[in-house]
Amino acid sequence: MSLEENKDIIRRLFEILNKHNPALLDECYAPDYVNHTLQLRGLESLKQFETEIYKGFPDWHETIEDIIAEGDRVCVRYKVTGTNTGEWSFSGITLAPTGKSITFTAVSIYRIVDGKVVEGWHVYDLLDFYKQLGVIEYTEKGKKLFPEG
Amino acid sequence: MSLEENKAIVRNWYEAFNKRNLALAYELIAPNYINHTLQLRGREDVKKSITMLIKGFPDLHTTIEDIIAEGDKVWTLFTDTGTHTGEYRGLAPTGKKITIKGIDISRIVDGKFVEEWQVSDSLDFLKQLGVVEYKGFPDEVM
Repeated sequence: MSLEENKDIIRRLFEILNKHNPALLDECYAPDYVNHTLQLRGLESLKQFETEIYKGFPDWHETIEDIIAEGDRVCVRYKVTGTNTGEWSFSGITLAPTGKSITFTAVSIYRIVDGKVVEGWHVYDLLDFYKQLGVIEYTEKGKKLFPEG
Repeated sequence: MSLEENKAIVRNWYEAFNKRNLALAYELIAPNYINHTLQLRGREDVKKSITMLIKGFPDLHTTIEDIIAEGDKVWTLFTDTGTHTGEYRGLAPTGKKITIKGIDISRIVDGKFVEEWQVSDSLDFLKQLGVVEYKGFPDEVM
């Protein structure tokens, strides 16, 4: 596959993610997909994870801001926005809705084999995410470090 | 410049940084450099930022986990490790060992860094320094 074809697969993947229909993920992911960052093995665990996100953030949206490809890998920088109006579960714990809007930046590196995503590495700016949800706050030490909050 | 040449420039930067050959590291920054994430403009801003970081974490070391290039951009997946033995942004040393994972996106023109974006797991970094806490949120979720 060419670099442009691999990038198109990732562009399509983001279109699908924004449709909030986990069944559609089969089109882009291999069944044995591994997400190294979230420690998810297999497409089924990714589907469960995505389902929870859509419950918690019914308007969750990911917008690609930059994309490059080399060899069998595609790298994407994207912006995530959403509003936490629903309950969601993560690591077996259910979190009540906060009603807060969130926006944060993330970067993903995907490895593509025969037109399907087989592996992913991700960096999420979770500080922004959890600060906006209002579930973390700076300690006294932290307030000195970041007086602007 | 070829993709491999651009990657070599990025590798040289991290190597110079790790060896504290900072004169060489700064030489690779273009005078009109912009860092969109850290809001840095020009070489002097980079010097200030690096000086502050090294003061707080004198043993700070960057390991390149992956490096990918296309066009004039190089994407570097990195892990930083260091010990907080000096004052960092007014924060007294905690002696804690920290690990930061992130990605630098660098635009290279004529062998120099002209533009950068960075995404790093800053929450993890601040948790390790003990400067954030959770309000009614289970710790194990984080």
